[in-house]
Amino acid sequence: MVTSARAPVALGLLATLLAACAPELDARASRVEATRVLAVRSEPAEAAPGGAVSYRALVADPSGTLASAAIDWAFCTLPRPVAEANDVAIACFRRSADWIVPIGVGEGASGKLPLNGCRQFGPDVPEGKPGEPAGRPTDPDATGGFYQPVRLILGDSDADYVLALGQTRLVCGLPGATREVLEDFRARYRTNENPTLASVEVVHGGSTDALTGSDASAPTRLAPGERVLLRATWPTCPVTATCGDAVCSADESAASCADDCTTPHGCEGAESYVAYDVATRSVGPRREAMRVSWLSSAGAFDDDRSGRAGDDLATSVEVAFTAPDAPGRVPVWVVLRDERGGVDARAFAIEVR
Amino acid sequence: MTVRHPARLVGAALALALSSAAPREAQALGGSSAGETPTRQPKLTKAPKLLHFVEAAYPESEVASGKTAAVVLAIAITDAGKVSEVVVVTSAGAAFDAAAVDAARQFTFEPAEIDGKPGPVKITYRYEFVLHVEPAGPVVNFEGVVRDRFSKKPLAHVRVALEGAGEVETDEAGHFAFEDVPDGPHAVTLSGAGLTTVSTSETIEKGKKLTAKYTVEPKEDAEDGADLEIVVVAPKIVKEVVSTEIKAEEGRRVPGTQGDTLKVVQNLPGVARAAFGSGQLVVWGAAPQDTRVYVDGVRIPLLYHGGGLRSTVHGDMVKSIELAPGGYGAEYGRGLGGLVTVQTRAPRSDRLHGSVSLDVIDGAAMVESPLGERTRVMVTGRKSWLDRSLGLVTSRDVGDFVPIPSYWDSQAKLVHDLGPNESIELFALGSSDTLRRTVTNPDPAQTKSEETLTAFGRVALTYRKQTDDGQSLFVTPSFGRDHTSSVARFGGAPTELDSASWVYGLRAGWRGRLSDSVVATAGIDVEAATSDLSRRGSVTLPPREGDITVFGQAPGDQVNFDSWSTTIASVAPYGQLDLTPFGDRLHIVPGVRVEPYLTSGSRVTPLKGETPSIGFAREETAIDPRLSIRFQASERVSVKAAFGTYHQSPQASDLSAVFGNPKLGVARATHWLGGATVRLGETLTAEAVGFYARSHDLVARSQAPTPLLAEALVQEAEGRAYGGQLLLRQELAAGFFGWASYSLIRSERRDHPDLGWRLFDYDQTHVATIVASYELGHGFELGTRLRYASGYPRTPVTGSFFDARRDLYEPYFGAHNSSRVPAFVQADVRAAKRFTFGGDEQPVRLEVFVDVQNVTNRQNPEDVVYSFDYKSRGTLSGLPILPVFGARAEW
Repeated sequence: MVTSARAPVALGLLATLLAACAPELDARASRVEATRVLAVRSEPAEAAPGGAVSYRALVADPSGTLASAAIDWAFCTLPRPVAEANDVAIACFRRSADWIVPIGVGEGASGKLPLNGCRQFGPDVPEGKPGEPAGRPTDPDATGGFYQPVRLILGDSDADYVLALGQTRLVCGLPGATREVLEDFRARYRTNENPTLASVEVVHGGSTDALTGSDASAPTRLAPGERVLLRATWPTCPVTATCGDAVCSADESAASCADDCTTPHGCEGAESYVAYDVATRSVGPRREAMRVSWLSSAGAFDDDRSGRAGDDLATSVEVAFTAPDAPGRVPVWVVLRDERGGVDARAFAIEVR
Repeated sequence: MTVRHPARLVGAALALALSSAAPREAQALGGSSAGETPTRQPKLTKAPKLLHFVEAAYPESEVASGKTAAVVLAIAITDAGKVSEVVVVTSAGAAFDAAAVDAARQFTFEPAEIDGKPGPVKITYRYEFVLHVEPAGPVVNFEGVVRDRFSKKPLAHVRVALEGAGEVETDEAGHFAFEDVPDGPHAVTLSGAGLTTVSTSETIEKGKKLTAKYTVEPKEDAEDGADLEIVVVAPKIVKEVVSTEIKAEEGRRVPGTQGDTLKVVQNLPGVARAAFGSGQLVVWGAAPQDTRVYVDGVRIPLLYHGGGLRSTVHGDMVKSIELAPGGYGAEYGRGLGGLVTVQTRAPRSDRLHGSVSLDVIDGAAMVESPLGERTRVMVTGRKSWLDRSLGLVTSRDVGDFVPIPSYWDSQAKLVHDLGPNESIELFALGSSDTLRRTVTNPDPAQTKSEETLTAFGRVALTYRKQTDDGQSLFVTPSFGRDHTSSVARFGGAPTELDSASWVYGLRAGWRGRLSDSVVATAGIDVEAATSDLSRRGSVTLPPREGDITVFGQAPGDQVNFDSWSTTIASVAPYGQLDLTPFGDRLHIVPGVRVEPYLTSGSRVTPLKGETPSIGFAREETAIDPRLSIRFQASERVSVKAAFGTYHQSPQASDLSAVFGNPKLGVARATHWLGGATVRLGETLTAEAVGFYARSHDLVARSQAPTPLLAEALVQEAEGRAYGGQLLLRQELAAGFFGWASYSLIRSERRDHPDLGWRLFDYDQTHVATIVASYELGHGFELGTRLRYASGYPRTPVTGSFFDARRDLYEPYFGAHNSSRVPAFVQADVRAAKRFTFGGDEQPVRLEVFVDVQNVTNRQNPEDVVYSFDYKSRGTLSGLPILPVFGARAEW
């Protein structure tokens, strides 16, 4: 799967020498050429089973953001069989079934998370038939997370539809942990906060300007074929516990820092958190990696995505963008994701002339 | 009544004595006289040799007397070897004297040499007359010729022992003969000093003379002709009913192998073409791990280094390699698929030898030497540099994009002869593959890194003894270490697997004749492995056979961890009979292998809280009957059939309570096969074989939406494979060898009893191969390999959905393995030139070659790849035209 412009070039070099040759597939993840779901945001980003959540999808086509997409939203309660390699059982994309829990139709939807989330998608023993031995719990991801799937079907026709998977991070226990570790984890873990794109800027000609929103009447102008840098920035989050910084970190509590933790809230950037390590069976600190997806319906980004690893304290990423040769208004979307399933997305516009 | 002079007459007559040795006849007859000035006495430096003997007729006038007579003659021989004068020294009577003189005048000699130069001499010669009356019927009723298997040249000095009739040696024409052999079956043993003794049987019928042809295979090191292994071809002792054996010298010359003897296995009938960069052996539709590889009876985990670039055993160490795709006998087990047995050769005993091989992939060296009269040693080593040599011609680290392993291997063999047919051998081998690569990406979730280590080592001690009556005995204890380690990261999700095992083995066997028509084989085969394993990552990684996935699909990001230990052992006594109730024409070989499997582990359920681990142990006994039948329908046609059941213990890596299932037991398979071989000429054979293999209790992923605890893998799958293969093979003769093979094989799996049959992931329905190599003369050699193979099955992608959390598309699929990668077609060419330097005593042979793969530069599809959203697809193509230059020197 070719997801970057660099890989085919390197593979092409190699083909003349030794290696297998990859075909040049024109499709780029950053190019919106058809109706696509670009992001699904759960609010809150992390909740316990039974908790109320609302969802909103960013849907776009080459003309721009689709403001009123009729999306069929539903929770799926069917675990993924280990024989399937995807994130979710493919049966979750049926329009109706015993394991499909509809929550609405529209651009967004809201509902309460199914109560069996931690059994079906978490560390608790899954529900089985009476008399059967215990089932196999679901494994967490590298951040220790478990996720309730919500499936999206856009389009009424069986022949022309768009499928997408949204997920809400679940507040569950820990797989196989001792009581002490579990208590430690519950005391120190802070639920995830959706990140926020603080700014998206365009750097050209020695100046830096904010990229204009999609609804701007005078969008950012670029010359045909002009090459610029786009920079996405997110808020800075504290790395060490500091009482009074408005973030209740892992090592703070309502007793030690009432200001931050009486009503615990997180940070809208790369948050620090504790995670359970299944190998050492202990709780340890981590920091979220951040990813930015760049999308447009014309022009070309050098890379489809940019990001910062968890140990990289920088709070911005850049990508080079080459404006299309043809003049016109070019929609641009920027999606910021944190490592625990949080997301923020914004639509922008560029005028090429 | 006939009169005959026995052959010993000549021997007796050659009890000659030199009467003189001088350059001049007068001196020769008179010698130097006293008083003369002392001069240097001429010295006979070479005695005359009788080249042409003429038998004297027993005088008719003396037949009635029947007496034995001896005539002593003085024969003068010229410096040209002609008889110039014959004088009777001791008479036996006029008739005898005349007959003897008349015969002697017709003798011719290789001239004698005096002081290093041809000169005339005179000798005395005793000619004996003995009257023999031959009995009625043929005296010689069993004779034959022993030839070199490949050159077809007759071989002298091979000892042929016939039970109840003594032993003779072949003459210069490779001929042997026995007289007056009693009627009935007799054991025939072909042997020689330092030879491997092989026995067969022949049946002598009353009043008839039996003529046999045996071919023998000289070992590669038998330059002096004194070190031979005997392979009886007619009648032949066949180990496996269906097998293909390739001599090391042939294997090295097959195009596409880059001179690597063992890579020839990939071109044998019944073997699927390995996917690019895999080197996996898929034999008769069996999974790669189901085909076991033995080197001198010791199992090794890998025949090829990473990517299939090279074999793990140096070609100079190899004598032959044999592939039995199924239906093999009771000596081997623990595998549901085929059997690859590699025989190493003994180090040469005459002097120091060595070799050096270099090409763009790696370099290798071998040295061997005698250590005293009875001990020999050979050491080999190989180190790859492809990962570095590519860096010289590219500006980027190609290993970032394609895994280029770095490997080494080494073997050592020491042989000590305890007696003529008794030896002890110490054999050690080691192999290591490492691979490191990192593919960076601005997106940390797309950054990939990989570091793998695959290493193993074995040490084996073998005692062998063969008695003159054909019994053989061997005992091989062995131990070794396997270590695999893999650490891979795709973004933040780790995949780590570490497995370290101690492997112990004991193989002992005896073979001997119980009666005229029964040869028995009995032995014991013990193997045990204690393993410590740890694994971290997704339960779906690494992929397994049967997983529905596509090339390039992002791995799952779920993570778990387990560490566990296992002990898997089995002790298999086995026995086998070779019944020949109607002579060598029919071989019925029943056998049985009784194998108790012991499996134990440290943990039956995943760790939870403070609950202590509970281990497990269980024993399953498998009884595997084997039967093969071979019938020589005519001199040229033989038919054969075989049946056998086979069992295989679970893999230690599958016994994890988290990722696998500790309760997995042994899987089983049954093989049926039948076929015929037609010998079209001395070295040309055609073979057709059909087979059916059924396997049960195979391990597959649980199909349940919520598998039970510690049952991510279950033993619910079954398999079937059926088809046939054709082979037309020309063995090495007159500088040419080659084969054409075609395999039609269908291999299927059913992952659960409620599911339908699907194509096996490694199914290649059609595989055709043509291999040919010809010596053009003057040291030039040209070879080619043509291959056609069906593409591997793939499951078509019918759509995709967008995973918004991970920002990637995930595919969904149509019917399992219902499409294929397009077929593979490739032509390879190998050209070589050999040079010889130095004298005949210690020649240095140099071979330079170019092995050009894919000479037509065809874009062979290797796999199907998709765009990021799975809406468009293309094919990943394999090697472009790739010339590999290399050189090899040996001395």
